[in-house]
Amino acid sequence: MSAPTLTRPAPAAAPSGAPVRGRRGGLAWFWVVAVALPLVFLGLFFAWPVVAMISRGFVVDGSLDLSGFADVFSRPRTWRIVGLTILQATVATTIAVLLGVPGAYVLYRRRWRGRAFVRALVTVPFVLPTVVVGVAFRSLLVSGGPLGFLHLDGTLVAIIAALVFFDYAVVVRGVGGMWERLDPRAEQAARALGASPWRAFRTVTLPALTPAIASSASLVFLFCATAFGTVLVLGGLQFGTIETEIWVQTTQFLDLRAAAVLSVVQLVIVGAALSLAGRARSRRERALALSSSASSVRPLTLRRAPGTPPRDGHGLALAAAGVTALVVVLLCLPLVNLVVRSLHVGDGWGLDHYAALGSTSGGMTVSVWTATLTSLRTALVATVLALVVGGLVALVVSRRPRAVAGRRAVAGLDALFMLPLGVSAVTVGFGFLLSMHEPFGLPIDLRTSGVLVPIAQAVVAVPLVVRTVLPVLRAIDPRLKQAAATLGASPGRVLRSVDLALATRSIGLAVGFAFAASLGEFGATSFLARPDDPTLPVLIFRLIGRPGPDSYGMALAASVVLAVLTAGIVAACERLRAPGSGGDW
Amino acid sequence: MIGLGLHDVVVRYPGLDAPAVDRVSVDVAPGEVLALLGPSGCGKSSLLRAVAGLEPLASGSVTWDGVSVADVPVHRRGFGLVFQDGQLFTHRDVLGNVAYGLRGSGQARVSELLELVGLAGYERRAVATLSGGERQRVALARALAPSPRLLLLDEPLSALDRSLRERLAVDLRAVLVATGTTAVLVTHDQDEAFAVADRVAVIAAGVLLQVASPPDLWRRPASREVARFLGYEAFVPASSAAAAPLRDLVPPGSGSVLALAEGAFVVDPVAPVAKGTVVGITSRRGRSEVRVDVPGIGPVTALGPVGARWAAGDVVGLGVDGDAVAALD
Repeated sequence: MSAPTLTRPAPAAAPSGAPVRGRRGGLAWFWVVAVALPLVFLGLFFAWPVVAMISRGFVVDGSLDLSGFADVFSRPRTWRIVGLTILQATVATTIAVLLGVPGAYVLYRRRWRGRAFVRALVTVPFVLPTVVVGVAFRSLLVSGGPLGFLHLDGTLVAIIAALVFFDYAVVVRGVGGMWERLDPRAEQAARALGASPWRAFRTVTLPALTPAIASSASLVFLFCATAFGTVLVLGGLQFGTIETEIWVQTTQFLDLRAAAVLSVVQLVIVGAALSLAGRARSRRERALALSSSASSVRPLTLRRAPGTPPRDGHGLALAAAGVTALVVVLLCLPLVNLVVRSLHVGDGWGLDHYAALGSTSGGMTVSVWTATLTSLRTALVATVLALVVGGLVALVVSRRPRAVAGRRAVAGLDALFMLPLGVSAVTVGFGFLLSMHEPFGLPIDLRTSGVLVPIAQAVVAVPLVVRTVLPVLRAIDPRLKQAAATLGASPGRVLRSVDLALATRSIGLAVGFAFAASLGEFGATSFLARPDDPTLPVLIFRLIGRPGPDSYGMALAASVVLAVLTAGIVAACERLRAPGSGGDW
Repeated sequence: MIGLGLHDVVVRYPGLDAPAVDRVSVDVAPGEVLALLGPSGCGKSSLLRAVAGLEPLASGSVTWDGVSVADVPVHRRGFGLVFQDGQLFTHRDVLGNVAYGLRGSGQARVSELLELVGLAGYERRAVATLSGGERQRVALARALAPSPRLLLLDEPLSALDRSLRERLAVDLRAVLVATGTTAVLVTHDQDEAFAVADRVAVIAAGVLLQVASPPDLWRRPASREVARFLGYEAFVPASSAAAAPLRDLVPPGSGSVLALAEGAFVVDPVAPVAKGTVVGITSRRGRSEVRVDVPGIGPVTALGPVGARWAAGDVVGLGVDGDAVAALD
């Protein structure tokens, strides 16, 4: 070093102030509550009802009786339903991935005018209530509908199409979020080594994306295998999933043992899919060469950009853009058709169906608007519950304790709190009916009070909150918190000024998802909503079961209302998402 | 005992047999800047984090003014820490970052510190708009704002490019001296350690090898290991014939081995005291650096004039420079 070394003045007096022992009591209590509250909530309102439901099937006169298994599995109907569930989920997942990967490239790796709008558009189906998706596809495929000539109404093809429609966004967002930040230089190195654009994609980019694709695919498989509302509306009694079969067995055939056996089968299938997703995700969290999206996203143009040679991958990009354009058109078809058909009155057009939403004609107990208010009210309560419980879970699970035992405990909690995502909403709803009659010997019947509806919706929404907030909390560099601590911030202040401050946007997004999920929740709610006070999805399902074009028209109009509500809420909260913040959905 | 005291400090990581820091003892007087110098992975950062309270001590003690800080949590130690990559809060602007550790708003204090680090008027800038050097200046101002009893600097300049690093090292020394801050600097760059610190502690494999002021360390490295790390590239017994022209450059009887740094030999065709065969030529800052093979010593790097040309195999005359020769026991 050439610089002359400065001489220093007399040393300054060391700052005084003897260190004080920290007040750790308050914070310790906070963590106890943060762990205990979610455990108690999910224990009471998730584990107990599910155990009650399952044990109803296996405990006869106080002793264990597994003959139910043999009985249920000797029925050809069971094997048909299990086979159908796996077939539907596998085919739908494969198609969603094949269409979703080019979509992720076009929507996340390329820049073009209108991209933000199309990104939001492809997300709409995912946030739509399942009942609405079912109604939209029915109205498209029924004889007399725009695609009635295909005679697909009530077929397996219709169900699979609806599942792909619903889950396309999961693949696009999951893979796109990763692709957007993937360092392009690895692919460029491959090109410089003589690989064609296609070979560079196949041998370098695709392997880097594989964890993201596997993670998205297992989520899609999960959503397809447990699909309820969509399949119930589209499949009738001929086609179904294990989830709809549990519903049919309990509500139509009153065969609780069969339902319990099927719940266990579903749990096994879902557990396998979840552990696959978890493994893929942990591989993804391992360091990949990521860059800021600004350096890796290039503009998309129809004509080859001036100065780029031919055979430089432009054809591949165009093919991906073509596939994606086609998919976007197909996604719009049911949505546009739903709106158009809701305006179709007799032989003409009009707002009559919408005007009828305020009436209670045709023997309905409440009007659609009343049901909408009920839905909004319950969804609000459910969102608050899910946010408190899910937020605490995310906070606890994002900690990295130094001790091995602590780390194991955190990993265990992580897996535990993901279970509601996998266990059927129908099982939860029906379990509530079984367990909440005079709970703990209290002389009250919670089942008829209606308070269970928001609680069940919150149970379903908790994993959404966790999966939205947790990645952001986990991504915070621990050294950032250490920097705050060395500046004199107490652990409580670090939590507030670093963790919470950085997670604010993701919490806003979680609110949106939780609210949309609660608003559209159908599986559990269909069991728990009081007949005289149904939520909107339950009312829509009732309406399409009634004869007559007017009821059907009202169902379409009500679906439009529900779709606009959920899409609007998610769109508002989506604005909060930080660019490139990832997450699963 | 005043200031920072480390006594037989041991840091272990779970699953590793060898300790990351092995019984290190060193004191830092108030107002002094100590550099921990060593290759990457030698345990110097672990030691720094242990002082900050971010790693638990397996044994030994860390004291301040003679009192153990074992029971004092990180945020009450009053030890500031600057990370290699700054770790600025991206959700706060420059003012919000520098004021983070202050009680009250402290607007005046923030301005004063930003001026000290050469960033006057940067209060409202977003962190993302700063260059690497500016970020480290903000990180330094942020760490100095609460007037820490001790400032810990973990490779604060390593992420910067070379010319910026050398300029900032000078500025860093000036800021530490101006504020009278007691500091411990971790670095793998001996130029940086020499430029910033009053004393340098050389660490390898978790063990403290030598603590001395920069000139003492350079003139009297305690071992070949220390000397090699400082940049001494050849070692020759003082009694050998090849060492004859070098022997007089060190005090008589000061050691049995002579260590030669780059530039111990200088190309000198006028009054050569030794001869060497050219092996290769490079250039640094315009000057030629000639790899020459000197009989009895081996290949060493000699300095030549700007623009000099030789071919491999040429024999050149060499003079010597006493500042690049040290004696070892």
